[in-house]
Amino acid sequence: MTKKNSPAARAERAAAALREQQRQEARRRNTMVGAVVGILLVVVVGGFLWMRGSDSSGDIDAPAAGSDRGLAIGDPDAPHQVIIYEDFLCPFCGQLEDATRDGLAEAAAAGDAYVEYRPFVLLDRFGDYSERATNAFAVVLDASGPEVAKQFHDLLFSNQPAEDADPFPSDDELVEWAVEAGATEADVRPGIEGLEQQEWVEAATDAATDAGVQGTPTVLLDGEAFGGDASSVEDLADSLLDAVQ
Amino acid sequence: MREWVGLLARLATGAVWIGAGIAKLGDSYQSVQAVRAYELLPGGLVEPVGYLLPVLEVVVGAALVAGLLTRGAAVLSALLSVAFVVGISSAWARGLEIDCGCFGGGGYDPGAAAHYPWEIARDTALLLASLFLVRWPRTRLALDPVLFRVPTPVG
Repeated sequence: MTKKNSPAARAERAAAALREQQRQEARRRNTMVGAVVGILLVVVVGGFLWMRGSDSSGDIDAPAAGSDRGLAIGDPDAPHQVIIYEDFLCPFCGQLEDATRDGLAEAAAAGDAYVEYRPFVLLDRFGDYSERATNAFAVVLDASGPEVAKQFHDLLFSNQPAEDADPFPSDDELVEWAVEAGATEADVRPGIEGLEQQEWVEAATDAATDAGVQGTPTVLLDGEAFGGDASSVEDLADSLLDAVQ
Repeated sequence: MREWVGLLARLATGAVWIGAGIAKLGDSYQSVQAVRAYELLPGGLVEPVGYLLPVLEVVVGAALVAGLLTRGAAVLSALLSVAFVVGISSAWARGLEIDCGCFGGGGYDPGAAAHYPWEIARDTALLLASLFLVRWPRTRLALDPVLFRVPTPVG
């Protein structure tokens, strides 16, 4: 018969007490881990919400298509308005243009969309090509009218240099492409070489910045920023064409 | 000795993640653009990942530097490193020329292909350091032993 205070009973009670202490410590530790993980989760979720909230790229406050800051094609009363802010040196804009040039032109011709291209200077850190190309565009628009300007715009993109091109296309080449687009050389050469539309370029760039445009291409469909959930520029192009056709 | 190596691993990887995260924290738009340029994720994930990644980098980095939940932080660090290695390798294989966006920036970058091998090597080093910490999470000068007391040994 085991007495209450025999060595065996005491040892058993001691072992039980130790196990209980270990259980309590394990509980405390787990609670502590849980609390720390919980706090870190709150920080991560809070940070995520803050990052999402501080993305203002979707809040573009831009004038409707048909402004004097760009080139519009199609019928102003078409059911869809597309505005594309772009930089002539921006490779993603070049990709977008390649993928949508024909589709948007068709949609415009069919009366499905009113499309306005708003080139401005975003990429001036690579040199002056962006400024010269945008100036040339404005010169051609002013001297030769919107149809020639549209052809010239398309040529600028299909002949787009790389961002690290050395040298960038010269003023002579810009004039060549303008002539290819249908302009009369004498009408455009002085303006292109003399950067005569620099004010237009600066005003267009300021307008884009004021509207909240942060990068290129920035596409607006019916006044709302479009393409935030695109997986790539190609995807953006496909979605845009789907939306207007 | 191993615990000092562990401390070094913690501080080095933690500092890299904190630097990478902070570089992107202030510019959500740029972070999203950097992710989109990889052309790897379905469209619906581009923005959430763009918003989450810098936050996660800073939190994981801080946990590593502090030695807090070291093993868990090291697991996340390893996963992030693998993700970057996969992403950059994939961009390289498809001929994309992008700035990895690891420390801000991101998007098209002419001549970027020259950087890829170095970036992959760097992220592989991060992966190895992280795996070391997963295997041996006890390190010098860490918060873990302060907050989570080691269980009373039996006997």
